[in-house]
Amino acid sequence: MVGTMLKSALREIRQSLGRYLAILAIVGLGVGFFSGLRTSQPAMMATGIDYLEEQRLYDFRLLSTLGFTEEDVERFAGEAGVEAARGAVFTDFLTVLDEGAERVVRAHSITEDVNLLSLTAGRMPEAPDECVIDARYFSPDRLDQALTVSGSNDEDTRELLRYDSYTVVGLVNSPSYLNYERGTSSLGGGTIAGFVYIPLEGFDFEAFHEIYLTMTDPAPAYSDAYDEQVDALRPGLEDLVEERAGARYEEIRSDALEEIAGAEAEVSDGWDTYHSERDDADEELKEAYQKLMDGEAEYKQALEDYEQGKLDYADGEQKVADGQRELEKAQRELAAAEKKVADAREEAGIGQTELDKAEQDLADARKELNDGWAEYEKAKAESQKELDAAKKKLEDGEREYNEGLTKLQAAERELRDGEAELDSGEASYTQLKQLYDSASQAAGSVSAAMGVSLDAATLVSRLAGGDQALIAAVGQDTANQLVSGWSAAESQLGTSLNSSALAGLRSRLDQSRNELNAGRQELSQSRQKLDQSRAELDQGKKDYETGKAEAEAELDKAYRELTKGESEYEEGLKEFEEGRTEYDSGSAQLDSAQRELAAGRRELERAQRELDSAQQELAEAKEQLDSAPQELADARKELDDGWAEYNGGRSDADTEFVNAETDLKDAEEKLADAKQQLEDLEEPSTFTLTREENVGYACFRNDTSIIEAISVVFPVFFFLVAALVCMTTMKRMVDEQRTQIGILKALGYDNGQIMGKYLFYSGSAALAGSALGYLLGANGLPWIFWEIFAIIYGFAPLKLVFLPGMLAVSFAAALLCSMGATYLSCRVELSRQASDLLRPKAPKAGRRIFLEYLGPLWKHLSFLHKVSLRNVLRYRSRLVMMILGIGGCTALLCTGFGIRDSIKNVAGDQFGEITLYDYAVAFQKEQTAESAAAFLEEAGWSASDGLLVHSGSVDVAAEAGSKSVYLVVPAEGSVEGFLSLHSGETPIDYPGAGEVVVNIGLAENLGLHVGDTLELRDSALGTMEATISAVADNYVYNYVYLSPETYAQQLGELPEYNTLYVLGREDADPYEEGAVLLDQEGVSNVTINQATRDQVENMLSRLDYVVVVVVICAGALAFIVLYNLTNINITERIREIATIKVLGFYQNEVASYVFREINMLSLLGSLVGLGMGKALHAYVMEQVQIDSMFFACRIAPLSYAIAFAMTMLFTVAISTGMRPRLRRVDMAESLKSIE
Amino acid sequence: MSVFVRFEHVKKVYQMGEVQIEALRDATFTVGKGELCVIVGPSGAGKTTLLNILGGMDTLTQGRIFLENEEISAYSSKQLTAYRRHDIGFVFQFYNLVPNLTALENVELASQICKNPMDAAEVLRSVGLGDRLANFPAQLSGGEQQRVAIARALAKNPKLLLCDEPTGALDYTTGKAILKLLQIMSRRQGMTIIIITHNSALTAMADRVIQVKNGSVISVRTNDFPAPVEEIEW
Repeated sequence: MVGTMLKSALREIRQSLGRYLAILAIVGLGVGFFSGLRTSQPAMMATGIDYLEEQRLYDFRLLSTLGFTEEDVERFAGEAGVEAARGAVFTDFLTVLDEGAERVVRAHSITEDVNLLSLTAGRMPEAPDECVIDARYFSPDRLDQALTVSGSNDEDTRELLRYDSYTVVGLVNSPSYLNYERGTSSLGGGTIAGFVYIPLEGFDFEAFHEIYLTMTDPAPAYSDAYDEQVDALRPGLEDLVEERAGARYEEIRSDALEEIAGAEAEVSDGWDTYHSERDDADEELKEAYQKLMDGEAEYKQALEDYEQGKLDYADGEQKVADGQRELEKAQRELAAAEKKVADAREEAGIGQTELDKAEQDLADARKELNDGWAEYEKAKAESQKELDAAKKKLEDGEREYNEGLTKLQAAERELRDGEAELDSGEASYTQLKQLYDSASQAAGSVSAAMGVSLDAATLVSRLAGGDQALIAAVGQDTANQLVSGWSAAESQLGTSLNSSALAGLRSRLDQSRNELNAGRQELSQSRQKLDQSRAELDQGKKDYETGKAEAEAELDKAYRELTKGESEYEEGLKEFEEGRTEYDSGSAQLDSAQRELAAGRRELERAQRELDSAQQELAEAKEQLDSAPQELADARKELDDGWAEYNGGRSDADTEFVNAETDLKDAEEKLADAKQQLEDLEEPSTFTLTREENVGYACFRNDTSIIEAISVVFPVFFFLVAALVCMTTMKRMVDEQRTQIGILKALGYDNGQIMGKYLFYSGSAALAGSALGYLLGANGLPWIFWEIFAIIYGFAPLKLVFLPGMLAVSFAAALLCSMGATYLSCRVELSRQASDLLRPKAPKAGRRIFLEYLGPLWKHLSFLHKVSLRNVLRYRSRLVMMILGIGGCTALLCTGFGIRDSIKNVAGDQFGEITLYDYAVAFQKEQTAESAAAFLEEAGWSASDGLLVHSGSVDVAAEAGSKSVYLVVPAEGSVEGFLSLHSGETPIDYPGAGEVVVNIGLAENLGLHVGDTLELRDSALGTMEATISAVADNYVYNYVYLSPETYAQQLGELPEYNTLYVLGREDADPYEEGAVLLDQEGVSNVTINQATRDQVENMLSRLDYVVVVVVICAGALAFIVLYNLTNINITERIREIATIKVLGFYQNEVASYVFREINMLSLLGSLVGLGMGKALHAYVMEQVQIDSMFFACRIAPLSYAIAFAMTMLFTVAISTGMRPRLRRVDMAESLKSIE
Repeated sequence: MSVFVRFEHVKKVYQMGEVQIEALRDATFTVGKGELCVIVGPSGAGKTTLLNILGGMDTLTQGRIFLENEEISAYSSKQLTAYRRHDIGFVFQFYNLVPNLTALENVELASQICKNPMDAAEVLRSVGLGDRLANFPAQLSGGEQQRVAIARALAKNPKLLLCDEPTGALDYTTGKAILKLLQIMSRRQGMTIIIITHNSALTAMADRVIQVKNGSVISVRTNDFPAPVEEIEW
């Protein structure tokens, strides 16, 4: 019996495999999702926890600004509850990587038993100059290569690292760096590229930088038990750290003080010695100097004396020589004068004779002159007579010539007249000849023409006689000319005109021409003669003039000579008289000169004696001078030696003292430094950090919790839809098999057995679906998520966890959904009588729908639409299934996109709209406005680029709990330009006195509202109260904002301004700028907002993968639901479809008849889905809230549009896919009877 | 009377798996315009095949079919749809009304897609259902449903009305009334009607009777004096 039913059921499955698979798939989807999402987070957490346990990540990390000693480490190791304590060293350094780029890496010392490294390649270091490196940043190519410490590292770093380069022997993962975050550094670009682990021996250190502790028997990581354990141990450790640090501080301090005291004494002794020695040396030097200076003066005097003596001697010598020369000259002059006097005596005798002779000469010259004068007068008279005769002859010649010329001119006139006459005769003759010739020619031609012989004269006469024939023959004009010419000629000639007359005339003319020519020749001969006589006459005149001039010149010359002789004579006479006078005075002078000469001779003799005595003196001086140079040279040498000695001593002393001084000053400086250091040596800051402060550790939990949050909601959908799919499918199936059920009933099967078949059908589908879904979901999804997480974590392969409870729940839910739905569907049919079931089922009554009562609207619908609308509303469960399924699909899509919308802009909104400053610089000491401005200028900023604030941590207490948040108190009472406080579009005023502004995340978390009074507790347990004046938008971290007044009022003192918000400069690299700021003195830390932003953005980018997963699920959901519904619709209405086909509906009309309904449902479903999506998104976002991050719950309109469009796309795709099935519906179906 | 429908050596073979079934062989006959023709034969004789082919619901294997000299057998699938849409009225044995449309809407379902339909309400009134226009099929009796079906076929103003066992699912009286209605339609409107039935009693009311057996037309005879439906008994 069971066999038959089973067989029937199996056959059923085979026949309606599509339906069966639909149930299987939807259940599988639900279970897969549920189990997958549910397992993911635990699996990931388990992987993380196991990894941390295996790698023994520290439980406490202790830090002290003064470091720790070996003793400290031992002390901590001995602490109760501490299993191991390991001192460690770390430093950031620059290393040169590929292409010479410098990168910052963080070097850690390798610790035993804590923070174990997991090798991914190579081996662990065995020598102190070996290292293992970050497997995430470095590739295995680096193995066996050297990692060098760049020379640009500062001295301290280079000293700390014992070697200049370390050999890379392995690649490792470190539990301290769970995720990709490597932190920031003050070196290089500010970001740390990767870590390096070096054996402790590879460092040269004074004190440990940190101590790592592990607890004994730690609870699993992330568990409450673990947190409790940590909390229990922490206070003791904190105290101990402070104690140890305090002790170290004291030790360092007292050592330093002692050292300083010793050094101070040494320095002051040094100075004393220095000063006394220096004074002695100075005194000695001074004396020596004085002596030398005296010697120098003496020497100088001697030198001057010598030089003067030399000059004096030369002068004397000169003078003696001059005297000698003068004396000699005077002697020579005296001798010459004596000679001259003697000569003059002789000359005076000669002068007497000469004077006598000159008297005689003068008398001779007078006589000669008188003769000359008589001769001159005689020559003058003779020459005058000759000239007169020549003149008379010339005048006669002139007269003769003039007469001849007159005669010649008359003859020439006569000749010219004759020539004129001849010319006119010649002209008349030519005229007559022409007339006669033309008459002859006319006569010739007339004769020839008329055959008569006519000569010219006859012709003319006959013409004159008026012979008409002839006139006609020669022409009237010619005739007239001839006749008139002829008569004129004859009257001129006075005879008749004929050839003889003409010849006579010709010969007469020729004769007179000859006569004329002879006359002319004669005339030209007489002109020639006349011209000759003219020339002769002119020559004569010229000769006369010349002769006259010559004679006159001669006479003139003779006269001038005579006159000259006269004046010479006068002169000679005068000279003679002067000579005579001179001779007389010279004789007197000679007498006086002879007396003067005698006196001169006596004077000369006296001078000679004087000179001789001077010469004697000079010789003596010379002797003295010659011995002086040697004496001087000796003195110079003595002095130079003295100076050399002095300078040597002096420079030696100087060098010695300078050295001594430098040494002392250095010592003083060192002492000052040491004092300063001691003064600066602050009470050490200590930190007792737990794993929570480790970025990777903390992020890991937060990141995985996102998945946990969505693992509840999503599967619920799938289960709900699965139930509905089961229900509709089973209902349809029961309907179809009504008759069969009736038969079975009639055969005596009881309800249970019949039901069993259907329960088996759906139950087996659900079970198979669950198994498949679990296998795929629980193994696949965590793996997918882990792969996504690998971008950030990926420290170990995923460890899958098996959660039996979850498995049981999911299977139970799946079976409940499917079999419950089946039971509900079958129950009604099975309760009927067999006979009832065997009869065909009455067609389901058509029913009016509410729309029909909206008359006008209904009437306007084509009734294909009416049919669809009625169909839509006819089957409620299908409607619900569609709306849930399609709506669920849309809702999932909305949620998926919405999560992305809400989260992706968090960083952009926070750092683009709210946090406007780029760097938060934390100082070691409190700052004032002036010191902050000075700091900014030092770093290269302008003072207006910074805002000084107090930034600290306070606890906010409210009824809903308390929370640690950031407190911001700006020094100026405003954050304008550095923070933008706003709520939506509305700007918020900075809170005034007694007011506080909180951020929205905090407000929502603690249920705070504007107007509430907020209590703030700072770390010193000071309490402040303020009224919330506004709630500001904020996305990252929690902040409360106070004014300095409020702070001062409440706590009685102004806050410590320890932080400077700094604006970045345009186009500057934020990491580099951050590094610049961090490099400044007094800066303890710089928060680079860009780094936070990058970090947040990186962290959130993985949400894209979540969206992809969601879209795929939504698609699967839509496909299953749509397929199921379409399938049911078609099988259920085969007959209807066949009928309308027979009625002649075209393919498209048939398709729209069926699919319009589906489309309507899809439309309705996705519209509902948009609303559901909003709600689901809100729920998920609430779950996803990460502590200290606020996500604005929003879905972009575009995301709604895309979700809607994608759903409709799925619908269209399914419709298109199902169309061939419609085509295959046989029209013959319409003829079949109703089952 | 002019020839309206003409079958020429029509053959139809169904391929059922590896078996070939000859549903029609060499069927040749004509039906005149305005005639009421009854095709009669036992189950499996090929009546329905004949009707399917004539109604454009199926294609034939060999031979030719003409309706008013149009060769139906040469039509494409799309032309066949148009042919069904405009030229053929179909009355099914099981009425095949769309359950969630009212009587009027069921008629309109046909009338709205053809070229010159009759007024749906008018047609329903003419088949005696003037007061049931707004009723859903489930609210109508079998006879009334069949009347709606006939009205739906008539409303299209078809050239040819095909009826597949129109009385098959009806009781005697109702069946008679339906047949009467068909006869009246034929007489009054000169509509060509082909009725398929296994009930040979109905042959009396036909102008032309075609007898089919084992896929062959075994006789075609005309009835010069068809009996009124009231006189027929079975």
